[in-house]
This record gives sequence, C-alpha cells and structure tokens, in this order.
Amino acid sequence: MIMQNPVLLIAVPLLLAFLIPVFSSFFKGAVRFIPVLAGGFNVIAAALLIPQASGDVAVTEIGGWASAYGISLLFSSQIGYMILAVNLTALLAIFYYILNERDLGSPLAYPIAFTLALSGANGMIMTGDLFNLFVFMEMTAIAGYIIAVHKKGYLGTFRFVVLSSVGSAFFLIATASLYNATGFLNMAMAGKNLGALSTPFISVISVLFIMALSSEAELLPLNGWVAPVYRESSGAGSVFFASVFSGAALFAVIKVMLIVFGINYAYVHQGLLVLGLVTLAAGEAAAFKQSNLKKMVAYSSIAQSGLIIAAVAAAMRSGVLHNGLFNAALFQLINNILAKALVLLGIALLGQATLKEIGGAGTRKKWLGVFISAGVLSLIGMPGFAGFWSKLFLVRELVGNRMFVFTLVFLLAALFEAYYYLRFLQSLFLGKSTTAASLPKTSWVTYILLFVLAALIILIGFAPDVIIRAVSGLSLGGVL
Amino acid sequence: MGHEWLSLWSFLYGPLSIFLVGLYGLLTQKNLIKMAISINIMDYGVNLFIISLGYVPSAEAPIYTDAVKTYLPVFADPLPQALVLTAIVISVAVTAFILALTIKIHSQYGTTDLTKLGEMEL
Repeated sequence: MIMQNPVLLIAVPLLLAFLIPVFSSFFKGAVRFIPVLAGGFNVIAAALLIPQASGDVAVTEIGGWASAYGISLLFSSQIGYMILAVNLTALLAIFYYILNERDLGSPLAYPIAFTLALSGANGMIMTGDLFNLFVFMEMTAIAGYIIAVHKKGYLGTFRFVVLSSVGSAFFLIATASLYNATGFLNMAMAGKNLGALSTPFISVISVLFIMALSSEAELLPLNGWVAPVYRESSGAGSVFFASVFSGAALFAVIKVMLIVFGINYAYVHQGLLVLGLVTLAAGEAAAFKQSNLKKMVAYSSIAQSGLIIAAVAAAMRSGVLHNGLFNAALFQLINNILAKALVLLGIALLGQATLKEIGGAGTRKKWLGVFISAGVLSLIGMPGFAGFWSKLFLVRELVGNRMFVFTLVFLLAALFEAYYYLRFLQSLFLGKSTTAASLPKTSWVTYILLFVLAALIILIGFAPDVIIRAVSGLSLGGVL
Repeated sequence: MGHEWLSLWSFLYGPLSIFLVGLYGLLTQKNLIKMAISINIMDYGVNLFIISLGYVPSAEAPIYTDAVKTYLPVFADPLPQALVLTAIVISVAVTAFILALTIKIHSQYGTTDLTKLGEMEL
C-alpha cells in the first residue's frame, strides 16, 4: 500500500543519499551498498506501480496543494516503464561500480552522487511542474558533475559544468517568463493558457526551453561536453550519462513539448524536427570518424538523442498526434537506454581505449565478446534484437506518414551507424592487438550484469509485443 | 512616459543586459576563474529578472500578519522570490564546484588558461 505513491521513487533515494555521510561515521565499509538499496527499491517500486497504472496519466499532488498551484507528479504505464528502464540500468551500473571501480575516487562522494542522480532522474521523468523540473535538472547535473570527474577528467567536466550552467540560466528565464505570461508553473495549466500569447513569444520561449534542456539531453547546441566527458568517465559513469541522464532529460524534453506546447504549434515542432535531424546527422558523422571507442559511443548517443527528438517532433507537428510514430520514438528511447548501457559496460571491461588496441579481444574473452555483440547488434537494429523492432516501427510510421526527407536521413544515418559499429565488432573479433597489455580480469558476477541487459534486449527482440503494448498504451488509448 | 521607460529598464532590459554581460564574458574569457565569475554574473541577471517579474507597484512584502485581518493589502508576488531563493542556493553549489574543479585543473596542468589547456588536451 505504501509503495503506491510515486513520490517515493524520488524521496527514498534522496533520503538515503543524505544519510550516507551520517551512516559512514558508523559503518564505513557498508556505505557503498546504499546506492544499491536505493536502486533496488526503485526498481521494485516501479515494477509494483506499473501494473496499477493505466495508459492515462495519473496526477499525484504533493503536500496537499491542488495540482495547478503546487507540485504534482505524473505517472502512467509509459512513465513507469521509462522509470524501470532508467533505474534498472542505473542499478546495474552501481553494481559495476562496487565490483570494479570502488577504489576509484572518494569512497564517500560516489555513493552519494549515484543515489542523488537516481532521485533527480526520477524527478525529471515524473514531475509535472516547470520549476520543479529545473530543480531536478540541477540535482542530476550536480550529481553528474561529480560522476564525470570519477577518473579525473577535469577538463571535460569543466566544459560540462559551463554548458549546463548556461542551459539552466536559459531554463530559468523561460520558466519565469512563462509564469509571468500564463500565471502557472504547472506544465498542463501553463500549456492551457498559452493560446492567448503571441507567436513570437511562444517561439522564443520554446527555443529557450529546447536550448536549456539540450545540454543534458545531448542535443545540439549545448552538447559539446558529451565526447570529452564520455572519454574520461569511468565505466559506471558512462552508463549514467548514456542511459540515466540522457534518458531522463530526453523524456523531460518530450514532456515539456507535449504538455506545455502540445500539438497546436506546428512551427515549434518544425524547428525541433530540424534540430533533431541536424543532431542526428552531425552525431553519426562525428561517430563515424572516431577511433576512440567511448567517443564513438558518445557521438552515437548524441545521434540517437537527435533521432528520438526528431521523431517526437514529427509526430506532433501536423496538429494531430501520430500515436504510432510517438510510441516508436519512446520504444527506441527505451531500447537505446538498455543497449547503450550494455555496450558501455562492455567497453569499460575491455580496458582499452581505441579500435586498434582491442583487436581480437573478443576471441580471448568470448563471453564479453558475445555480450558486447548483443548490445551492438541491437543498436544497429539486427532482427532478433530489441533495436530491430523500434527501428522497423519508425521506418514504417515515417513512410506511412509520407515523411520522406526524415526517412532518407534516418536510413542514411542507420547505414553510417551500422558501418562503424560493425567495424568495432570486426576489430573485436578479427583484429590483431597492437598492445601487449593483457586484458583485465573480469569476475563472473560482472558477467551477470551484462547478461541481465543482454537477456532483456534479446527478450524484447523475440517478444516485442509485451513491451510495445506497455510502452505505447495504444490499447488503453493514452499517449504519455 | 519617463516613468515607464525607467521601469522597463529596471525590470526587463537591466537584468537581461546583466545576463548578456555574463554570457559575453563566458564566451570571451580564457581564464577559468573569470569564466566562473561570468557564470555568476549570468545567474545574477536571471535572478534579478525573476524577482522583477513579481513586482507589483506600491505593494507590500508578502508576509501574512495580524494586520491583514483589518485591511486588505496589495502583496508582491511571493512565488518568484521563492524561486530565486532556490536558484541562488543551486548557483552557490555550482560555483563552489567550479572553483574546486579549477583548483584541481591548476594542480594537474599548472595553468588556468583555456587556450593552453586546450593545447595540452590534444
């Protein structure tokens, strides 16, 4: 009964994060298990909440304030699956941290950062209030700054802090102006009162919002931090960036676009569509040139963010919401979260940075090779893996809605993506190593983490309808 | 006319130009500390902007006292003030982090000049 309130998904990790310093003075060694507790609680709570949720959004009022004036949390089956995917990958990343990267960095700061990040990401996904979104955005960002310096990558982190601060300043200006013009911070109410405002005002506000959220969602123009931070981040850290933060931030962008701006402002969505496609093309082109594995995944992650946002914008731009396209984008987002986490954990376990250095590593560590392949093949969209279905649905919906330019860009991007990921696999299995360094040892417990992700990807690949029905909520008639 | 011009400047253009000064500094300065200061100036501009949005002419501070029972005062909008309070706290935390990061960068690379750091990174 007590698990039924979605606010616990935010409150429990937050409480645990602040208890860590207190806890550490009594049980120093046990502190590292607190993030596991938080992540485990969230996964279980989300799994319990999903069956009770319907496709329609349920609003939870916080602190007894009516939802228009106070903070409200949104929950639906779609949001539930999003939370489940984000928290599950975060939990696996935290296990990875405990198993392999415990001695990296302060033993106190990192458990706090991971736990805070969980709380903030869940808040970004669920909140229905603009200023509350800002607070959660900043919370995840500050946790993200700490996670980014895990392997002493100070310069990349500095870039991240600067770009993210600029983004949050834009967000504040946009939120305050919108509050001044509509009288509400609640997304739905602000959106309702938007109709009375002038077109230039709405355009400026939407641009500010998109720019503000672009730093964490890895979209252009504020995504210059992504590649340096990924390159210098730890294994667990890179999963947090690729799956947890970018997933939550992308969902926040989608939420603001859908609830505040709705489907009535074609010019807003047209702009967002162009931005998404440019991000997609630029990301794939940059990833194509990389020989550093983490940077390759970073640019590929940027490209995927662009694709998802472009698909969402395309679904909303004609004044009617195209359920099929919108749901395909959300499905792609969830697949991307799972597959990116698997590939990044695999790359971290290889212990080598570039394409040449990993030559033949897949033949020496067969299981690792198999797991990485599952992630990569899902990202490319091979049949039998989760990514195949979301890409298939995207193409089907795009062609069905006669969006040929988008289809062309998407297919070309997919071709590029397939090329550089297959090059990675080729090097992994057929290449010859240029370094004499032996591969770091991997414990069987770590393999279990990879196995969980790979099993999920293959499960969705063979029985996509389970997830699709849940993600789309089509049978229940609701979108988001 | 003169009054309107002044209030537009103090409530809208003033804060926004402070914000733009900060943004300009962030784009042009090469020193990490100066960049941190620029971010702070940007935040001040934004905070002033938000506060000024809650301004109501000849209003009182939004504090609910016994006096309210006898007459109905005009209150300034308290919400922007609450927002700014939160924003200030966040900006303090971020500034502390940036400065700590700058110390770390300086001890690792021996400089806080962005151009030199950029060369070292490559």
